[in-house]
Amino acid sequence: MKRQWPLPYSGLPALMSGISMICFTGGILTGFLNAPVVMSILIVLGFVFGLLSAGRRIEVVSDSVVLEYGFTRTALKYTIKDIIDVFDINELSRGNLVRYFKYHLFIFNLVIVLPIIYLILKGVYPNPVYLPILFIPVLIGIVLQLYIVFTAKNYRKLIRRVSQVLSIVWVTIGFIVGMTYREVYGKSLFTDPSATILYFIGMVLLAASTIVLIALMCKHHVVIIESADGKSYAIGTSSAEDAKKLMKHILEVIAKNAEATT
Amino acid sequence: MLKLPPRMEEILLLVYGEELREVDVAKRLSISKQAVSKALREARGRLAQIFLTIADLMYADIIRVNIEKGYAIIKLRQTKQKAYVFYVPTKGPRVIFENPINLDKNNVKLYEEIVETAIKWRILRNKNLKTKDLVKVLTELFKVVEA
Repeated sequence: MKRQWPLPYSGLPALMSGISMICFTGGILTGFLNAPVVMSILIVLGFVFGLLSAGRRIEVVSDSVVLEYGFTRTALKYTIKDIIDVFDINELSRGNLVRYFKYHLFIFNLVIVLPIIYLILKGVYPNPVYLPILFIPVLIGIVLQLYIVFTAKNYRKLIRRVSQVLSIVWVTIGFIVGMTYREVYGKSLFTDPSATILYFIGMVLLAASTIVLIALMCKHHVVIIESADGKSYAIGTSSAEDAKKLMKHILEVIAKNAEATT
Repeated sequence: MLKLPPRMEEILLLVYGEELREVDVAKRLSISKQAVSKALREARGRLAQIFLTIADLMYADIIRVNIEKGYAIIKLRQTKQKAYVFYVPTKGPRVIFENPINLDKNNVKLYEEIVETAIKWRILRNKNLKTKDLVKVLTELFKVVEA
């Protein structure tokens, strides 16, 4: 696994990752509207934008940091010059990502709200066994929203509490699905093998997506770099140690470059 | 080695402290804009080196280096305690710890020096802070640099 990678939190990568999330959410919703063509297009677009905005590599050269995005080839390149601030946001007692990257609040809110608006506007609900899949963007949006607001290590306890609450929500969704199915179809969900399979797939995907996200958030550290023109960039690292090594390397290169130009 | 040349300090404070544009600093000092840009680049590199050196000497890891405001946050490997390094113009770096804030005679001088520096660098924006309770002001300063 890579140790450091650019995060799509600013500029074009942020826009593309936001579009990717909305496309995936839209894809799930159009699936319920029986529009398979639109669903396929949205899901493919979601993948395309996601791959274009995926962090590829970082290079520290002279007094700049170069961030490359794109999978499998480099689609975007950003060079950060005139660096004035470098820090590990997870180590600051009041650090939060939303202070530097507000755009994502809007995206995460949209991803939470779209499925709920769909349920309200549609009026006719989908087959209850699809509800877990419908709730995947809602739970992911909530977890990501909490992360960008409560990023600092001090908040890890809060994140763990939230994950405990989310596991209760997960169980509750399971019960609601079962009860609603019985109300609508007059029989138990588990008497229908295909419904049972769909139900378990949905519940597993719902649990897995939130668990994986929370586990990654608690382990990874984010290094923020600010340049003199007021722009901020984020770099993900596998651990606190990798964050420290990266920051030290960036500062050493800046110091060396200044020496070389005198 | 741990101090910047006076001219470099002056340019840094004019650009980042008084928030003047490089072209205005050049006019004020009767030098070219290129000279100001070069001095800034060099000053940033030297400040970065100063903070790296302090971290090395204290066997600490760097949490934050803010060259624009002349401070760094380091974490001592031995005790896991955080220390705050502020670059005081004409004097060099000064290190303080968040806990405890000890208000004996020598420490008060150090803390006042740092508060004055924080106001010069515009880390703290309210000039009236100087007259307020030193513990409150320092607590406010730690909150600002930790955000």
